[in-house]
Amino acid sequence: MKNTLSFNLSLHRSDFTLEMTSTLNSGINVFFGPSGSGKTTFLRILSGLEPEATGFIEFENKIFLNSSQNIFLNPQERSIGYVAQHDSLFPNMNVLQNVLFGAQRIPKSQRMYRAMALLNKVGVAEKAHLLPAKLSGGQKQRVALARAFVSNPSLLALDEPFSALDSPTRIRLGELVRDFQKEHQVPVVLVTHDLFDVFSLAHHLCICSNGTIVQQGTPEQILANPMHNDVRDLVTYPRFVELQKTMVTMPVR
Amino acid sequence: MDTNILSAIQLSLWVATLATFIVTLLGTCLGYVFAMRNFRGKMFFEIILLLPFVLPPTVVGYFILVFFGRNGIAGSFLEKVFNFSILFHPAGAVLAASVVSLPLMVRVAQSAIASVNKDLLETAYTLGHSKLKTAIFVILPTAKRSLFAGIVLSFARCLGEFGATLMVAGNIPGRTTTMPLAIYSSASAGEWEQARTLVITLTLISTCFLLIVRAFERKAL
Repeated sequence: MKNTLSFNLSLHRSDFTLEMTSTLNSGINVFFGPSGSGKTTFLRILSGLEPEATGFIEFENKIFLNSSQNIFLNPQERSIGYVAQHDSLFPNMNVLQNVLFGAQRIPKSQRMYRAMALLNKVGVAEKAHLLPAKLSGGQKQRVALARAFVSNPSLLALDEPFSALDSPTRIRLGELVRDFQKEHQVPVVLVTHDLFDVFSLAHHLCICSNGTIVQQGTPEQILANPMHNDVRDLVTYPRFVELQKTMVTMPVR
Repeated sequence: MDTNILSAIQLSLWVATLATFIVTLLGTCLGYVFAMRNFRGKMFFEIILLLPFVLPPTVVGYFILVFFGRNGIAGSFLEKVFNFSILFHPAGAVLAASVVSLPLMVRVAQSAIASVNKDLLETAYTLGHSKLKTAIFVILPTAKRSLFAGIVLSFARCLGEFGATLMVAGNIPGRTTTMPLAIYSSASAGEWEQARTLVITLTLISTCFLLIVRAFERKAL
C-alpha cells in the first residue's frame, strides 16, 4: 500500500532490548515515551543507522530490512529525511551549503532554486551565507528541517527536533512539519518526550516503554481507552490533563 | 654562505617537504581507518605503526635497511625491477624521515577524526552521501585545524631527522647530507662557525613551525 510503513524489529544489546511491531500510514506518527524507552533507537534503525537490528522494515513495497533474507539498505538508499536530536548542521558549510548538501537526490538544475525556496519558507533565507555557529538554536533546527525536506524524502524521521526550543519557535517549527506532511502526503515519524508535541502534531500516537510499543492509536483513542499501566499513569498525569484541555481549544492537527 | 651549508639546507627542505607529503596522505588515511573502523588485529597494526615513535631512530634505520637493503624484500624488488636502490640516495632520506614521522601524523589524524561529531557523519549518510564523500566534505574540513597542526609537526620532525637518515642514506656531502647530519659533521670536524650557522637556521625554522602550530591551536579554541 502506498505510503505505508510496516516493521517488525528486534535489537538486543547487553543493557537494552527493543522489540517493536507496527504499521504506520501517511500522517504524523508520534513516538512518545520516557528517555530510554527505545524511541531514538527505533528511529535510527528505521534510518539504517543500526545495522545490527533484525526483523523487517517495508515501505511502499520497498524492503529496507529483511534479516532472514540478508537484505539491508544503507542509509544512503532509503531516501529518508532524517533530523538528529542534536545540532547536526555541518559546521564547515554555511546555511545554503548545508541545504544544498542535502539535495543530492534531486537534479542539479533544481537544487539552488529549491534550497532557496525552502530557506525562504522556513524563514532563514537572509542567513543563507552565515555559518551555523552564528545561528540560534531555533534557526539551526529550521535549517536542519529545510535540509531534510530539500530532496523530497518519501519519509521524514525526526528525533526530538524541537527539544530545547522555546514554545513560540516550537509551534512554528511544528507548523512547518505539518505543512510539509500535508503537501507531500508522506509519513512522518517524530520522536518526542514532550506532551505538547503529542497534542499539537500527532495523527497517530505510539506510546513506548522499555523498548516496546505498549499502545498505539489516535491520541483520542488512547485517551479514551488507556490499556497499559504506563499509559494509564500517563493520562492521569496532571500536565497531560492540563495540556489536553488547552489543546482542545487550539486549531491544530 | 658555504655551498655545503646551502646544499644541506636545500636538501633538508626538499626531503622534509616530500616526506611530509607522503606522511600527510598516508597518515590521514591510516588515521581515518583507525578512528572509524574496528577490525581484527587493529591493536597490532597500531602498535607496529607507533613503534618508530618510541624506538631510537637508529633502530628504525636498521629495520629500513633490513627491508630496503639489497637482500631485503623491498630492496631486492626495487633492484630487480627498477635497477634502483634507496641506500645512499636522497630517496633513502625521504623514506627514513617518512617512517619516523608517520606515527605522529597517524596519532594526530586518528584523534582529530575520532573527535568529529558522529551525528554529522550519520546525517551525511542519510542525505545520500557515500563514506568517501562524507570523509572529503565533512570529516576532513571539520578536522582541518588539528590535521594542519599534525602536518606542521610532521614537517618539523622530518626536518630534524638524524639517526635513521644516517643509517639509510649515509652522510654524503652535497647528496645525502641534511642539516642535522651537516651539524654533526661540522661539530665533529671542529668547524664551529659552520655548525653554528646550521644550528641557528634549523632552530629558526623549527621555532617558526611551532609558532604556526600555536596560532592554529589558539584559533581552534
